[in-house]
Amino acid sequence: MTDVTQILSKIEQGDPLAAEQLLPLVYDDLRRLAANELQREPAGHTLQPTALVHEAYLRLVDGRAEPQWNHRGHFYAAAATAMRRILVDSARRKQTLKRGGDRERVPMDEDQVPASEAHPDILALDQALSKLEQERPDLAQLVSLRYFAGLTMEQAAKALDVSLRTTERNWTYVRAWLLEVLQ
Amino acid sequence: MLRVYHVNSQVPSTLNEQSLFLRALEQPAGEPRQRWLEQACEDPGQRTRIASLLERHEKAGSFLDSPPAELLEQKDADRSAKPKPITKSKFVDRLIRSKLMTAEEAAACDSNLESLQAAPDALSYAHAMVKANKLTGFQAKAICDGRIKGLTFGEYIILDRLGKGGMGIVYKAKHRRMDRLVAIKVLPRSTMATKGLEDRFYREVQTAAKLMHPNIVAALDASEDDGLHYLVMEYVDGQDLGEVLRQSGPLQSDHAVNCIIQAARGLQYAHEQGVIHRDIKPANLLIDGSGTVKVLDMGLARVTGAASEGLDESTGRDSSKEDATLSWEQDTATISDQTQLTKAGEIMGTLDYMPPEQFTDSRNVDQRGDIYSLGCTLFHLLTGQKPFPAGTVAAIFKSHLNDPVPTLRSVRPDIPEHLDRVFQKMLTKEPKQRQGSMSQVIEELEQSLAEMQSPQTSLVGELQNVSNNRVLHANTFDLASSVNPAGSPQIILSHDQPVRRGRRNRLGWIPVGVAACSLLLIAVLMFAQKVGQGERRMASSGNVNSLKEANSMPEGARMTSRQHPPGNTNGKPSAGGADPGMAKPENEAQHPSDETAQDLAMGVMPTKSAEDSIERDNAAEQLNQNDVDIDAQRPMDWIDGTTWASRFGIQGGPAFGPTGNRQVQFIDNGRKVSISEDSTGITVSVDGRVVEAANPAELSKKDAQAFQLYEKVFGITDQERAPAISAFELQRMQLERLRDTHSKNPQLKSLIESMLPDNSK
Repeated sequence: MTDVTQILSKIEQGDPLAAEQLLPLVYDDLRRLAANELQREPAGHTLQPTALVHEAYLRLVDGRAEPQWNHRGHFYAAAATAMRRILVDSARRKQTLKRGGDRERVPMDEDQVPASEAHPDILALDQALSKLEQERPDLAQLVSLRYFAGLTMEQAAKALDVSLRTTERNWTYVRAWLLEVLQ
Repeated sequence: MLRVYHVNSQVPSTLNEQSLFLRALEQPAGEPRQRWLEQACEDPGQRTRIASLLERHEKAGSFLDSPPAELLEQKDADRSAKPKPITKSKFVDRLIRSKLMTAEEAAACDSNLESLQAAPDALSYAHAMVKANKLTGFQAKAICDGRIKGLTFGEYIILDRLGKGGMGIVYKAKHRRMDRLVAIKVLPRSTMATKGLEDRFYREVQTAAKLMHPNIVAALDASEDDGLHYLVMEYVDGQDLGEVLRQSGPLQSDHAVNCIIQAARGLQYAHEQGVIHRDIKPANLLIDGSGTVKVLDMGLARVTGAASEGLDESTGRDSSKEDATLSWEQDTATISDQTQLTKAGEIMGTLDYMPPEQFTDSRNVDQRGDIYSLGCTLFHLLTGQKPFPAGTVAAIFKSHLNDPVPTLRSVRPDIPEHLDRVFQKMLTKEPKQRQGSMSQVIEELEQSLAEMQSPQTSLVGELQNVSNNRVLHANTFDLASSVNPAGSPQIILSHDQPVRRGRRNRLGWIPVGVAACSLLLIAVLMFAQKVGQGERRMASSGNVNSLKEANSMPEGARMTSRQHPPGNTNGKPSAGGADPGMAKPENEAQHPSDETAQDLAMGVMPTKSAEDSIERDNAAEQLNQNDVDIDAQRPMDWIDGTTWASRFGIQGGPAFGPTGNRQVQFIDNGRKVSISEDSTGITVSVDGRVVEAANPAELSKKDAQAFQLYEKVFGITDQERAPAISAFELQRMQLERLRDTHSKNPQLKSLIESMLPDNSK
């Protein structure tokens, strides 16, 4: 069993310290993955956070152990937080380097024309989420899981251990809430 | 327990904000919802807040629906419950849909490669594919990203992106069946949507396809795939000269002239076919690893004669007012934001090299327009600047039309006057006063080149000539005792980098050794000249000692001239034995047979006769008498570490080829001979035409065979070449010559004598 699998098991068993141990492990791995990914790619490449998160999961969590969804939920919660941190750091760096950090690099694809408003400024979103965390940590967590870890609605519902319907209703509300704050 | 979440509402309510919002959403939109809201929210502040949230919701679109920068996976992420970004099978599915592989090929790949079976996810799968050379990194990335369109065009498989060209993005590609590497220019979809442009594109392509020349990037194919039009071109493994300028600054003068001559050959051919380029600039000249220059986009700008009228008709443009090239670019630029062809930028890039007549009446632009642009390009290559670097479009127009042409020598004093004159003529405002044709340009530039490499220009030139063209000769030297190339030249000039990188084999050492000797001698000369002027420097004194040490270099070259038939061979077989007759220049002139013996032995002598030797001596003498400051003429950094080899007529060479290819160039009987060896084998070309290409299986890396090949080409036998003298002796002779040349200057003479080996004093 890998470290991470062990930690996840501990979390399952209710060890309160285990969750704290998980984040740095996931964070480091994600950062390394991101760095590798960027190194391999020429300039102009954009991070693919979801891919990284999933890759991190496959790397860190022992695949032979029966994958319990709760395992994943905890992992993704940590990963979403880690990814949010990485993206915020990256955005800050971009901003200081005046690389045009306020704009996202959008990969070109004939098939998929990205919706123009799909992605908020990551730093503004981060601030808004911090505010949300104080009032509704569950909603902030949902946004993290959906947006930073790329979980589907069902996955997020499982990870948060709430019904899909509640998750969907929460999602509807929190999007409007965030849009209001971000304006 | 209900908690109240509101930002602006002043009055708490029984229902929290989220519930209100969600309940309101359940009401039918419009009036009913409005009424419900008024009933539910007594507090107007809260009502406004909820209404605002509702409005946000309506306009939320895909806000936060997909992870950041993860746009490509949004469909799958929503649909699939699997956490992986894409699965292996999805990857394979995309791979097949991209047409990079057939289903069978993909399956075969999968079953043959254990690394693929072991891959836990699509990403590792993609990496394994790249590692096994089944996919390029570019392809794997594109598939992972979901960009599967445009990875193949007809029978061509896209391998990598090369860059952005004149009209679209250029990719490196491979023909599926022929395995040939090509460059593919994909035109923006929008370009072809414009009426007439498609016709025009194919007409121009047809013209381009007729042009086949070693100095022109050949257009091989053009077609359409899924609405995208593309042009297939010869793949040139190298850089464009614009890049070269950006990366390493101005070129060595003879290298620059050589490049321009090659481009001129391509243009000469095109002009003969009635095609004018009209957009010659450094970025449109590609140089490959072996130093061959090829003109890009030939025939794509405009076709002369009747064809051009047809083209103009086809677009319905008034060509008397608008340049065909410009109009094409404008069309492309204005309609294509995708390729980011900015109109201004594109025209600007062209303007810097544009002949004045093209501004006024584009119909009058003929081959002499290309001559002008080529001249501007020459200026840029030599100086690193554009001839008229004015900032605005209007100022550039004005400069081309009115301003006097800058001289090359004003920027680079080391440029010979002859070359400057040729350049000035190329940039004459009035086309009639320019060279009449590219062949004339070539002729004049070749004269310049010969002058640059000949001894008549200066003493430095003389010494260059010493080492010039002696590469083949050197192969009979005892190479085992080669001087350490990183040693001696380094003491004089620190530009030893290319030498260090040299491949240590026989052929490899030869140019290195020759160049090392040359460098040494030039340094001696420069130093000597300094001494002659009484400018003794400490640093120079240090050089003398190092030169003394270096004097024992066993390898090198000699300066001789060819005059007599092969019967007179009478060379020196080994180092040491000084021949007094050869030591003195007057003897060389009067009794050329001694010299000639060596020449014939090598069979690679320049055509200059013994009279040239006298002239050379005279020139040298004159130079000395006039006390010309050579340093001023040719600054020290003129001997640039990376390109000095070309100055000695040794271009490329084992240490200098950008791709590790080896190339030797020299003049033989007025013919430019080039022998190059790369992964494809050994190629001998004369005056740019390939004479014989050898199969690597037969000749690979066996230098002796390269020489045999050369002999075969030129009919020189081993016997004729056999009596060679050592570099040591050559150098001694050169020093003696130098000493005699400077015999009137006792200070200089004694300095040179101090460098001579004891037995020749």
